[in-house]
Amino acid sequence: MKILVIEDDEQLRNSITKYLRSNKNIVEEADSFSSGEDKIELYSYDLVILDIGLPDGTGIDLLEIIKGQKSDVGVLILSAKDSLEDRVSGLDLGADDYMTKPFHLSELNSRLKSIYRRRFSSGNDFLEFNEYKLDTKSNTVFINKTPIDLSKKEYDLLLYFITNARRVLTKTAIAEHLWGDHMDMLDSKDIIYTHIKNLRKKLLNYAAQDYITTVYGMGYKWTDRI
Amino acid sequence: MISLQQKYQRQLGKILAFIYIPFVVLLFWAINYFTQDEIKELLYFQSENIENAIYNNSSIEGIYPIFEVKATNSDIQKEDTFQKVWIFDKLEGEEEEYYELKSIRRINEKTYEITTRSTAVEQKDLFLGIFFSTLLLLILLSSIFYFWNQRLLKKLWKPFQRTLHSLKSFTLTDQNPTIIEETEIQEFHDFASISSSLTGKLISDYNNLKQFTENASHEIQTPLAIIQLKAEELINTAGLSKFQSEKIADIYDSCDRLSKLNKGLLLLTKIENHQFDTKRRLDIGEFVGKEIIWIEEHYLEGKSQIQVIEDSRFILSINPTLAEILIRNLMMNMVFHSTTQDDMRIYINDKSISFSNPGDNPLATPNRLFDRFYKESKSAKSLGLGLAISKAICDYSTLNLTYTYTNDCHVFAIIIIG
Repeated sequence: MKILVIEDDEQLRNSITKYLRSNKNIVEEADSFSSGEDKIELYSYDLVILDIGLPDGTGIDLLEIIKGQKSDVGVLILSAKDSLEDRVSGLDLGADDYMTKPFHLSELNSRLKSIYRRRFSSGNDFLEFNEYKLDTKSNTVFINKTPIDLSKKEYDLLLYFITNARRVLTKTAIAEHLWGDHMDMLDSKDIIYTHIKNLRKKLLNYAAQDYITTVYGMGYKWTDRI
Repeated sequence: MISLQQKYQRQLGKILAFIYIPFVVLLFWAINYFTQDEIKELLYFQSENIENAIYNNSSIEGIYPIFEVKATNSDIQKEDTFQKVWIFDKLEGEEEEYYELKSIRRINEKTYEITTRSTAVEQKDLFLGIFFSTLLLLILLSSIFYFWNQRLLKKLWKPFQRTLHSLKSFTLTDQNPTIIEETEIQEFHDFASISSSLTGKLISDYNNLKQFTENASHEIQTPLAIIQLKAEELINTAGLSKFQSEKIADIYDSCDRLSKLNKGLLLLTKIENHQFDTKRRLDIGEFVGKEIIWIEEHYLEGKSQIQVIEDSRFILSINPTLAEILIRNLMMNMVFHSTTQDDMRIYINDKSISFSNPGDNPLATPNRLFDRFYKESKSAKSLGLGLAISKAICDYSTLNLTYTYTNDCHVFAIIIIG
């Protein structure tokens, strides 16, 4: 994927670009409204990650420019404000998704891929990992071509794992991805543990190898490398 | 409480009544005195005329009861007497009241007793006529004064009332300070301009505070995001020792905690700043139904374990976002503090909704339950903001949030006030 990251905070931008590059994407960056605008007009991208609060303009205005070009680019808005107005106006103007800071890189990755699949899914609705094959259009999972019966949550969990394969997913990131972040709940670890245990059990009925590994104190990782 | 005008009118009424009673007595006495005096003068005048008549013709005897002339031996020095007498009137056939003047005079070397009389009916009529017309005029005058006064007061207080009204209807969300009323009265002008500047200051303070919380939240979220992303990068570094992993996990968790804390406090501020003022009428039973599906899917592994007993529909006018947070908070509270997975019940009637879950012991300090950061148990499972937020939402939406421990169950109830 070719991604443009428009974010004024250098540290944040570096982390995002480094992470996206490590996932084999072509990443360009812009640190202001004007440089973002220039890049959008000069080049074409698959996805744009757009910060709302830029020093010389708002991301919302930039979004209007992007959408004015009638290109097929997908836009994910990043905002420090969890305000309903920004969310609504961003999505109304044609943004594909909206994330508030702070966020998890795995969640960002998962959402970008989901936008990409939705926008450029010409015959490529399948996600593969060794013997696993996920049909993202019908939300079904095949292991060695056998369809597996999973609940919606289990499917979401597996998709999240495979999208972020070989990376550590923290328990908080998993919890927030599956259930949204609830105001007063800090510790969802027990519940995540149960869900992962159930998923593992179901998958092991069909698959030869257990790809889910526990990373001590931090979370889980879907990996075929020991 | 009575209005200043009512108080003033009542006081005025009392004062008028207080003045009227002696005044009317005085009036009565004065009119009576003067009319009697008039009669007396008339009788003297008649008496003098009779004297003159006797002087010319000594055979006058009188016309009963108008006047009588009698020869007498009485002392000439004796003073004239003026008095009221009752005399039988042959024509009317009853006793009639008369004023009578008796005077002893010496005319042509003879002593006469001259009695002149005038009927009291006339004087009475005159007296009553004057008395009542004066009284009527007086009442008329004072009622005109009273009502004119009332209208004047109303008119005078109008600028004050208008300022008061605009103060009453003042809300921070409108962003309009109260208007300075046009008035030539110094006090009311001062009141209106002070109200206006106060409300103006209130609005600017409110906006500053709002901006501050928003900025603070914004400025905190970005560094938080950086810490979290850096920690995530570290987590994905190969070859970490157990010690390093533990420390990174701690940083990551604390960061998450801080972020949630920030969001929670921001939400509380927003509620207290009245930033959720759009209300809708919600059927709480229906709303709870949706939330149960959500909570069962998320936390109860899809099993239906919450029993809903809906006696009647509970319609509430509330902000939908806040309603969702409130109901979800109380449901989560119920699910997470239940000692068993059964017997969680939600009761709904037309005035309240209550969430009940079994618990071993009543809470030690229920009065602190709704305080921010108060935690009954030391477990780090929650921030201690959930119930504070619920309470703030209820206060904001004029609802009562109560906690009771009955039949070995913790019960939280949302009740309509009044």
